[in-house]
Amino acid sequence: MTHLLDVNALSVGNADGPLISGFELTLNPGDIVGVLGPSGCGKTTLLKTLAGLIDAVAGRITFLGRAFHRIPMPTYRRLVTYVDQTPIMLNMSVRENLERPFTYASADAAYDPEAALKSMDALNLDHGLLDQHAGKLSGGQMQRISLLRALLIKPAIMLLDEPTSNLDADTVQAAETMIKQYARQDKGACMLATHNVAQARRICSSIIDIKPLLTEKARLTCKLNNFNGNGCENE
Amino acid sequence: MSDPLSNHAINLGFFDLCIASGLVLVAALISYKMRLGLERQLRIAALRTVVQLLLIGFVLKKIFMMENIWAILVLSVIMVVMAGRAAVARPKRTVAGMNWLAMGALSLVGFVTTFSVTAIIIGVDPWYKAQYAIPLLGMILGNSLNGLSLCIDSMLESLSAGWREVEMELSLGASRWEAAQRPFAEAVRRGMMPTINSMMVVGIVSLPGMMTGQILEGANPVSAVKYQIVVMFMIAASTAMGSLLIAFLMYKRLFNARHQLNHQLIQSTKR
Repeated sequence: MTHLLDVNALSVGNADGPLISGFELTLNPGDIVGVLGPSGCGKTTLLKTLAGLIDAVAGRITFLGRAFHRIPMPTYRRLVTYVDQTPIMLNMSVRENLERPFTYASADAAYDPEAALKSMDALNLDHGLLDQHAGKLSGGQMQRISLLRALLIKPAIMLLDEPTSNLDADTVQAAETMIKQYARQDKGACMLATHNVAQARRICSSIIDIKPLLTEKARLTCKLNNFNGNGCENE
Repeated sequence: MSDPLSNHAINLGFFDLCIASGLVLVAALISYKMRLGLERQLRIAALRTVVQLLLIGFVLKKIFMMENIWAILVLSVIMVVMAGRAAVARPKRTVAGMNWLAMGALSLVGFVTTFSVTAIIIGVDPWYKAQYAIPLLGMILGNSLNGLSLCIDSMLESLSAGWREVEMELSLGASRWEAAQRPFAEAVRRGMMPTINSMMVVGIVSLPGMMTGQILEGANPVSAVKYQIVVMFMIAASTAMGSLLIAFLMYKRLFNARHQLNHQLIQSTKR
């Protein structure tokens, strides 16, 4: 049986060397996999590598039985979509931000305003926000719009990097419900990087602890970063 | 009296240049009286003006007389190298190999524009005749290097400050070209702005140096103007081509075939 995503013996890192090695993963529709680990040790790098935004150090990534680098990158990223933990808005209105992915050549559908409104309701977002400038939103609103923007292109897999880090308790629940719905009803798969164990237990169908996969260097960097007290997202 | 416009230029003698240096003395005097502390710099600057210009005067005279394509080529290469270095020196950021990119862009633009002006518009034979090709190339390089500088500055600034936006667009399925489009367009626009501005006010606010020189040399102002129009268009074309080319080369350098942005390649220039 071909899986949605197969990852074998994956090592990820940056120019200075690998941070995580020997990562294995199988994703099928409906799965929500949590990746747990201390913050700043390579979870972001792992997710970005799976999205093809960073080159893997070693290993194999297969999407529906095809080596991922054989698929045109923009098409692949529409199917396996990474959502940054710091929500990034383009310097335009919220609506234009949501429409943006549908202006790319890789788009296979048109922007669906109805779907956008429905999802906004589910995420406790006021419809009036659509006409506001995206730069004027609060951090929590931005994070939800950023999640929504990815959901609207209907990816097969969403790679969510700390998707609720800027949200308060109420909206965390709304976002989690949304993610679960995406997996159950829309048959999407999710990979969720988080350092929040409780959240992982709440919504994930399986959990991978990356601590044992960290390289010595990653361990040291992590200690150093946490000692310095900065959130230490490696870039 | 004969036609006042047909007079040839009055040749300047050594003594005339000495009087001209009196004008710099006025500046030095002001600096001294007002304690601006610029006397030393003024003295060096004035000296450099005299030495550099006399030197280039002699070199040009030699090369004009030699009519040798290799001599012209060597001089052109030196000019391109100097212009390329100057273009790269000013922007706040750089990438490894930027010198080469700038020189590449400038040599192509310099060649294409000089060739089309001397060979096609003016109709000089041979097209590389030093008397025409060298001053024109100089003007092209001098102006497009400013455009290049601004273009480099803008593009590297937006890609290093805004790499997250670019990467976000990539992650949502933008091709590298789609993701680079906004910084790219802005950079080319910035590069061309000064040229467009100067085309707007030429003749009203400023009389271009070349035209002024020709008029002082006794040329008919209308004929000087015609030359100036050619020069302005030539500069506009070369700045546009130069900015476009350098932006494209930077794009190729920073985005790979796997549609990734290597923003780590951008370094700030030490100063």
